[in-house]
Amino acid sequence: MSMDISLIKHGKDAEVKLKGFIDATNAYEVEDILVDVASKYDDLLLDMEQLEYISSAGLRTFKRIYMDLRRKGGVLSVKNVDKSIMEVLEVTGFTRLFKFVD
Amino acid sequence: MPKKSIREMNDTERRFYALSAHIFHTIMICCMVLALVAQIIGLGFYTYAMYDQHVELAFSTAHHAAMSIDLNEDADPAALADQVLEQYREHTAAGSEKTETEGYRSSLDQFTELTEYGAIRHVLREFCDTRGVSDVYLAMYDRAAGAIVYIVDPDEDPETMRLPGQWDRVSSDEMDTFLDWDGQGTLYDVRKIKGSGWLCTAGVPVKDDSGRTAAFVMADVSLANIARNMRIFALQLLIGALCAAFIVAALVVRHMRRTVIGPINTISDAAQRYIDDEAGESSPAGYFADLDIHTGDEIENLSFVLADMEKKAQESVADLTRVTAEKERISTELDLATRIQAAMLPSTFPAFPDRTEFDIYATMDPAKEVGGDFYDFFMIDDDHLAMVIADVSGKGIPAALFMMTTRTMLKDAALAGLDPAGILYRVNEQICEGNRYYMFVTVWLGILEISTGKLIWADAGHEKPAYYHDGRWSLLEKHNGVAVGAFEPEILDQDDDPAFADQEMILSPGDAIFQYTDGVTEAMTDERQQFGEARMMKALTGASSSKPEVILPYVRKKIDSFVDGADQFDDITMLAFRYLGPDRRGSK
Repeated sequence: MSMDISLIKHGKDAEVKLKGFIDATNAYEVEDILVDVASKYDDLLLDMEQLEYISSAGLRTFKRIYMDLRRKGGVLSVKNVDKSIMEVLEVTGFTRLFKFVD
Repeated sequence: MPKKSIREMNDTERRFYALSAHIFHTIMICCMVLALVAQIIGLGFYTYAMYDQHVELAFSTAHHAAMSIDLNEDADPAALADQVLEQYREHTAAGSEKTETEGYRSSLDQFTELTEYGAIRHVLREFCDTRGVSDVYLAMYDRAAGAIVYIVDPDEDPETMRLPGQWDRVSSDEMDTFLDWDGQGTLYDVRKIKGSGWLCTAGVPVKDDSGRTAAFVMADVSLANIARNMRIFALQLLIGALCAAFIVAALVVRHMRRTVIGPINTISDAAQRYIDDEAGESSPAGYFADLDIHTGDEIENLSFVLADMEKKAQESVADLTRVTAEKERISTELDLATRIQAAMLPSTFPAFPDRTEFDIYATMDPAKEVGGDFYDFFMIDDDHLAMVIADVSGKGIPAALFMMTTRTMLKDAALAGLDPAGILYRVNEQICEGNRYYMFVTVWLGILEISTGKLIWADAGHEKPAYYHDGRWSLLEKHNGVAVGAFEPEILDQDDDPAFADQEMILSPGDAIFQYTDGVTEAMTDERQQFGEARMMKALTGASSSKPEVILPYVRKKIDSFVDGADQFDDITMLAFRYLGPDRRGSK
């Protein structure tokens, strides 16, 4: 998998570092991992500093996580969003899924 | 061990290195080594025994001869010896060379006339004939001269007979052995005599009345026959051992053929048949299953293991065949799906041959079997042309299924007379109902009023369209809409930012719009470098004409030369449209 995912726990909340890229080839694997994390923690913060690329399949994964969290009142936040990733989020309107934090 | 593998050998070499040959050679060598050791030991004992026997024969003959002479009244060997020696000394005092003269020899003849000489000679003669010894004679040593002086020699051959008083040189060792004998054990000496081989000489001293040794009765026994017998014995043993080794080796090889080599060959023949029969058709039951091997040892076990292995291999092949068939079926279905998908999209160009107001052209090249991209265009009514380009999240069959639904929904909404943003809102709502798999689609949708050139378009998370006006291409700024299906209506609009918004522009005759999916801008080289908007704009500018059917192939060509053979990993979909102005025929 061209993706490294590392988890940092902050009590009931989790921070996930994404490294590499998410496309149709690995989106389902990434999704399984993130769904598992989202089910165990209240809020989820995604650190996108080392995320190089995301395809539409990867966006779908974020949507899934967002919905999972929203159902139980959790919040999906992101930080360190790279310019090119930000562009994708803006173009597709996916910025509205996330709470942007510093 | 041979230097090359059995497969490189010719028949002769194979026979040489065969297991049976190997066993045969090994046994032959072992037997021969054993035989040699046995022979060396046997010969040692034999020689030792024979030697003892010969010494005993020589000594007993001498002893018995001495007793016989002693018992003979006519014989007085001591006196005869003294007389002969006296004569010998007279001559030798004057020079030993004279003893060989004719005169000396004739002076010795006188002793042969003596009765004593005759009696002793007779006795010695008898022993010589009956005991199987070479010679029995009476002699005395002359220590000072290093010579043996013969006194009575019973030899009948006048050539070799020694006369009384005749002498031969002897070694001082022999002389010391005899003259210094202490009377214990056996008195003998063994040495090699030139011409007659090994000779054992045993002696018994003849004493005179005073106890002085006057002479010796001596017996010679040749040991030459021991050496000869040894050679014969060795040869016989060797031949015997060879024959025995050959028989043993042949028997063992025969046994091994039946119990080891035969079964091994049976197994390897079966394996060869298994290999030759590629399809596995000739023996469905298996080549190893019914091998008739009942050796009860490791070889039988090997045959069982091979039978099991074959069974397993057959199962694997069956599995593989099934999986391959399944794969082929899926591949066929995917192929069919691709055709269905392609057939769904309008693909006949020119699409509206009777319309002179505009040109439109579009292409879709899926990356995998079926794509998630699509384009569409259709007349809403006589004056309104709808154009759609969209990209469904993900790829393959799920994306294709979703794409077909979306396409129908978009068309339905457009035909219902809604404006572009309205269409997107409606389709978003429809998709969100039961969108359990969170599929979504980015859409660009435009509706052209042909008579006026007014283009109303709305974006749903898609790329910015390129616009050709006044001889140059530029990207149109857009209101960022959200991907259709991604957000439920209740979270769709945020604050003052509506999810979808109409944008309006008036096209002049000659203006063109180029719309595309991210498969164009994100086409990648093997080094993961993207084609990008800048290269795309450059390609558009570089096209010789703004005619849609010219632009699309040209951009595609530029993408291909950029990625330089790298695999296409996303669908590449493009749509170009050129407005030529209202119908000048006035047939509104």
